[in-house]
Amino acid sequence: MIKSIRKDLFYVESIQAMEPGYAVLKTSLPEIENPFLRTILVIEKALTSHTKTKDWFDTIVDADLFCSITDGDVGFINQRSQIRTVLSQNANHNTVLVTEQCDNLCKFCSQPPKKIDDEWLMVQAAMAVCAYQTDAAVGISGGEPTLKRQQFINFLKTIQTYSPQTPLHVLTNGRSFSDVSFVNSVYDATKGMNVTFGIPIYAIDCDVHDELVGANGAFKDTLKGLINAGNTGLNIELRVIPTRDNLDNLAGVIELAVRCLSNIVQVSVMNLEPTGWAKKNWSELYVDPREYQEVLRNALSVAKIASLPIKLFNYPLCHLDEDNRKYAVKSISDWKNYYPEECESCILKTECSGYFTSSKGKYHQIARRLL
Amino acid sequence: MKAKLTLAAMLPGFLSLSSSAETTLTHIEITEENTGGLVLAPLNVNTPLYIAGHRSHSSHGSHGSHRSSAGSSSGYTPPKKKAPISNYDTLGQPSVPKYVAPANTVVNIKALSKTARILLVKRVQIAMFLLGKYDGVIDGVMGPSTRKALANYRYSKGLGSSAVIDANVLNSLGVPAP
Repeated sequence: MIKSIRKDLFYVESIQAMEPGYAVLKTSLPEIENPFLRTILVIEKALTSHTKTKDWFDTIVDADLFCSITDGDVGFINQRSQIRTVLSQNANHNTVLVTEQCDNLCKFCSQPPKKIDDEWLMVQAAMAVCAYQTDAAVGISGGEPTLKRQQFINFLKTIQTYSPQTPLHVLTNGRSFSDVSFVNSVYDATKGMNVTFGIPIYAIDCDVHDELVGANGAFKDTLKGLINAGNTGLNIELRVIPTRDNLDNLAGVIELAVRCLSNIVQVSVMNLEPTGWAKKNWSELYVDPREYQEVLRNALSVAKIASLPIKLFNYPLCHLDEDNRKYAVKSISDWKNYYPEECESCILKTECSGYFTSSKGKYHQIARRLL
Repeated sequence: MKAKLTLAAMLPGFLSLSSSAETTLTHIEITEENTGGLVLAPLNVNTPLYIAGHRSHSSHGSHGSHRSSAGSSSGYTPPKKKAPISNYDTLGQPSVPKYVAPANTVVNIKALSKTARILLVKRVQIAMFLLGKYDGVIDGVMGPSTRKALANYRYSKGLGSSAVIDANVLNSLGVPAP
């Protein structure tokens, strides 16, 4: 078992009796009830001074959890007596899941969709963001968050009302934005807030894109969506994952962003993550970064000429040529991030993204000599 | 020196040109048909800086770094303000196990303290709003519109048609019981 940088899942026997769902985790005695979520007081060891004084919060004793959280973090309790810290001040980035349903079926989906009624996920996610009251960005992930349009608008409106200072980063396939009236509603529901939409487009050839995302007509919807969202004034982070199928489209996608789209705040080129369906299709999709340094160089130069910010995600620095390295960011979320033993003596370790904890066995590309 | 004089002399001409251009533009009618259901890129509706006479110096700061080369013909429109782009991979989050609702317990709303009751009703109102089932005020009061929405919601979920808050409805909405 590979150990991640930050542990986020804790087994606490005494929560067996508690209902599943989100809760505010306090390390100090809570004074007022949180308006959105129930409260749980987490204490290091059972002390008489910490005995329960109010009936609206539960108390759990767990030293491990106590040491890993900050007062006011939000956790998710599952029915296996586990607490996962979802919104934490100790995390390098926080994300909430709003649905597990999607209208695309991407070959490399890291979170394969499920056809179950999960309306409550979006309700609880909104409550969690409002309860947390942070001014650090929170990621909104799925599934496809905009699938149920009215609910997504209401989700944004709720945060706009109760926690407008929280910047949001929404991951969407952008297909819903092909509808102009929906884009306008989203624009209104995010007024006064700082929101970016991370929208992936994998190719400039519609067949290649549709094949990768497993949905006919997806390219047309997403491109229309990108045009509408950008021209309406929504911030867009354009995402692209190089695979064997779309590698020759990479520079083209950047040029499309430069010439045809507005309000692109960043282009993110992302290395494949060996999880979910990407594992199943790994041999078909994955290309060793060594094979496409020149392709990356071209794509980066297109963005550079137009002053379009571009970043490389999830690439260990030793897998990149020296001139491409300056675009790489330390991108992997801490709860699924690790550095193998051979990285210990590396001079670039502190700047390097390292590896996903799922990168092992045949999915693992060993660390290389820095050239 | 000569060039400067000529430019200054041409300024009134430029101004009249730009004003006549504006009037011709307004005659083009933009309809759904000729845009194919797309939002067109915003035109520069504000007076350009070189005509406005550089009145506001504060506006320069935000424009300074966007383009490295003058005369770049790229269509890239720089964003107005700093947007939250995470340098983290927000893709992928641990799968959430299926929600298993615990057995129904009776929630005696009347037994709750006043503040607890308002809080609970507020949470129910927000949850119903999020699901698109309620569009009234979030005030924590069990008024007629809240009751109606609650009854409709219960009916749509097969929980009867009363307007009662019980554990069934709280579980269904994802609201923790008090």
